[in-house]
Amino acid sequence: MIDHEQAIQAQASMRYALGELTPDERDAFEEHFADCSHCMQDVEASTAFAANARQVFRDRASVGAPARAFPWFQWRPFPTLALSAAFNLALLVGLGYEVGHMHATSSVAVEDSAGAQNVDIVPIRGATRGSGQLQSVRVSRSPVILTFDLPQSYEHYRYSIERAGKAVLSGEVSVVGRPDSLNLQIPVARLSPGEYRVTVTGTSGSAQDDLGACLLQVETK
Amino acid sequence: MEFHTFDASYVERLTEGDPATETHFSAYFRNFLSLKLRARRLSLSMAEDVQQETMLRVLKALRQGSGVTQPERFGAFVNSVCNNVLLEFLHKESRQPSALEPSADPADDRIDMDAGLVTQERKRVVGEVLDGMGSKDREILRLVFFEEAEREEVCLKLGVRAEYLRVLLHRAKEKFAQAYLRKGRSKSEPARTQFCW
Repeated sequence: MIDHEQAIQAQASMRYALGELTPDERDAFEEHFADCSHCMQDVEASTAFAANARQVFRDRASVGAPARAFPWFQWRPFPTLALSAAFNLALLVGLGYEVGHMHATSSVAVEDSAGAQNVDIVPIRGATRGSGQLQSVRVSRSPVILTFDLPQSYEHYRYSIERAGKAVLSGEVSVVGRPDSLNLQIPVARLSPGEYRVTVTGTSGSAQDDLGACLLQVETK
Repeated sequence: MEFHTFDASYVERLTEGDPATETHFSAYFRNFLSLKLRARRLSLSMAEDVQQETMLRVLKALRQGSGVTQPERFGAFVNSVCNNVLLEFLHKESRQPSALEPSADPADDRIDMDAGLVTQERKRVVGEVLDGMGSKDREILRLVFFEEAEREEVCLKLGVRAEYLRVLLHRAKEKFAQAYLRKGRSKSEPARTQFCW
């Protein structure tokens, strides 16, 4: 086992998050941070930073330029909406890339049944911010994770997957604490091809709000 | 979540079934085990099974077994139980024929592993941290996180010393932690992925 000073000196938390430690170093560091609250927090921060940095760079690569290339967003009267529009633009381009990418590699995915599957992560626009037209998500085989922003907390969250107005699946979403988003994994392989409407609602007492909805276009496998 | 040092009193309360201690035990070690199992890139379902089994065995050891000889190293004890559980699960899986077949082109499970950690708010904070940097520093981080280049390769390519890269990574992570994890944590928690089935 390594001690705290050694862990700090070796920048073990970040290297652990990036998978840079050898198996022996990793085991020794785990034995330490299981009892060291400081290092555990550091591992948590490093892991979260690495995951989100990867996604930010991925988003920026999808739109072809960093967010700084759009300085006019910063002085517009409604920066939040502008930022949202930028995210949506990134989503559209990113989704197009993902669909194309998925198509190009589908044969590999079919053959590789023993390996882990690709999972697409798709942010869903908030219900109140949409233009009335539902966001459409096109999928063919891989599971998809739909991410809904939670601008406020509710006592209960429910999801519903409907086809032609009839509920195919619905249930309560288990939420711990006060998350700022809710991830719903849809195992697409179990859905027949067709169009589904996915809705997430939040309820507190008698009040109920639609938190987001989208159309899930499940294509032939 | 609050962290504190483990001691004989904590282990005793957990053994006796004190609700507050049980709640802390569950939250703290779920967090630890998910970080540990994530580092091993286990599937979500296996990671969940290993977590459950580990916590069950720890409580069983405390309440029906010989207990813990070094309460101040209770975390290391949980870690060793997890290692045993993990070995058993991997051994069991390796005996199944499908798991032994080599994959021609391993699937990229990185997106899946990151799913529960990525949120719009966190991405916004990371974006701000990145945009507050010079273009060279931002490119260094892009190579590390996005291209997943080796540190030596990054240093060679951009003409920086390993120590510079080390400090850059540390500062970026600290800015993120200060801006989000420490300030925002009281009002928001990381999202978890809910499975429809």
